[in-house]
Amino acid sequence: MATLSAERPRRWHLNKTKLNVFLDLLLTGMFIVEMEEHFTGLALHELLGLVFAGAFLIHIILHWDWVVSITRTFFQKLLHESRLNYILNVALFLLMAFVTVSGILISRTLGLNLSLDENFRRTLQSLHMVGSELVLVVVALHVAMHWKWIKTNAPKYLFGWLPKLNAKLQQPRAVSPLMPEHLPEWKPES
Amino acid sequence: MTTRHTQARQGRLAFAILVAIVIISGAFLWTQGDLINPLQSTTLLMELSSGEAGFAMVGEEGTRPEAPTTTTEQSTTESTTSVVESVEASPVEQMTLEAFTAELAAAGVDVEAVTATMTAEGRSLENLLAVVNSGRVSVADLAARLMGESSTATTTSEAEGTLPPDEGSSELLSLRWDELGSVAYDLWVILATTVLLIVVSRPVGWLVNRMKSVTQSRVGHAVSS
Repeated sequence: MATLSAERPRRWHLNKTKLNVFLDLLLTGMFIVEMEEHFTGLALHELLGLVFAGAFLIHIILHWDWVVSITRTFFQKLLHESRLNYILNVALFLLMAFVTVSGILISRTLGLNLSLDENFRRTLQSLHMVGSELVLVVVALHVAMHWKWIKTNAPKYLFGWLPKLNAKLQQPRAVSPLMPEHLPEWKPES
Repeated sequence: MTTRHTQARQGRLAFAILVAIVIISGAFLWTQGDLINPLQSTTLLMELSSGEAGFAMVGEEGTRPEAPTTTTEQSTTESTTSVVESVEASPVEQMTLEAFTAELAAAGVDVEAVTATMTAEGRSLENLLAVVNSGRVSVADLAARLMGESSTATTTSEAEGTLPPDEGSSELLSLRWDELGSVAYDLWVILATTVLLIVVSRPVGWLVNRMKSVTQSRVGHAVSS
């Protein structure tokens, strides 16, 4: 076994789709928790918001090729699903950027202590809350638009281990001679 | 052919599972009272002050009636803000903020101290103005009440040298599990939108394909002629 592994050294390979599945799952989980500030409390809400913004940026970087290609060819095929998707994603990016920036500006526990005008702060807070409700709707549409991708890849990478486990369990086991089925059959004496 | 048939069958199965999850979780959320109309909630958010119960940021929880009070200052300011909350729903504009501030100052109220106390709670004098404009409290009554409170608040602040603590903002892991239904509701919205979009995409997709074919045939005719 040791010689086999020595002969064929396994190179670490980044499965981009797998990474996307788990990152998107993490993003969705963080987003729905982040949406409910009453659930998390203000301190965790603000900290989680920053972590979410970072993960969101990584999500965009991972899809940067798609962004560039659609931006270049946007007007070539206007009646295409990807164009609707693109517009939706731009709207989502703008909304998310606004909610993140406004959240940072009105933050109380991040230690920024920005001395904003009280009226402006309250307006920003209302806009932050309304904006987050809009983000929920756009995120829902974003997820819905990628249903085919989710349907194809999520079971593969999230539950792909189940058939392997099943096959492993159904393999014939190396039985011990002391197991009951190997004991001589007992017959009552007549 | 078989692969395509299998994929279509798996797609239908996945959609059926999704619909079942949406219906069952929707019914469960409905029974728990967590299923609300997002448009309705957004309208409420826009119309109501963030200090209204249910829409307040966590840092403003000190204004809730059930919230525990720890200092004299908190209890006094809380009584003011509870009055504010009770009448805030239907404000009638009668007095401007400038006139209100001037009347309070004329009545001997330390407007700056009151403003500072309310700012610490995430509120402003506009909340008090709404109370006055609703007609439930006169400026004189409010001034008399505030004079007592501001003096208490000033002395407490002077004694402690600090602003009142902002409840709910200090602890990092203070999860409120009774709000878990709201988290589930957000997930439900995402799933329900997915179902809705899948259903809507069928006729829309057919329409777009039809438009494409019509456009292509027109272009073909134009080229041939």
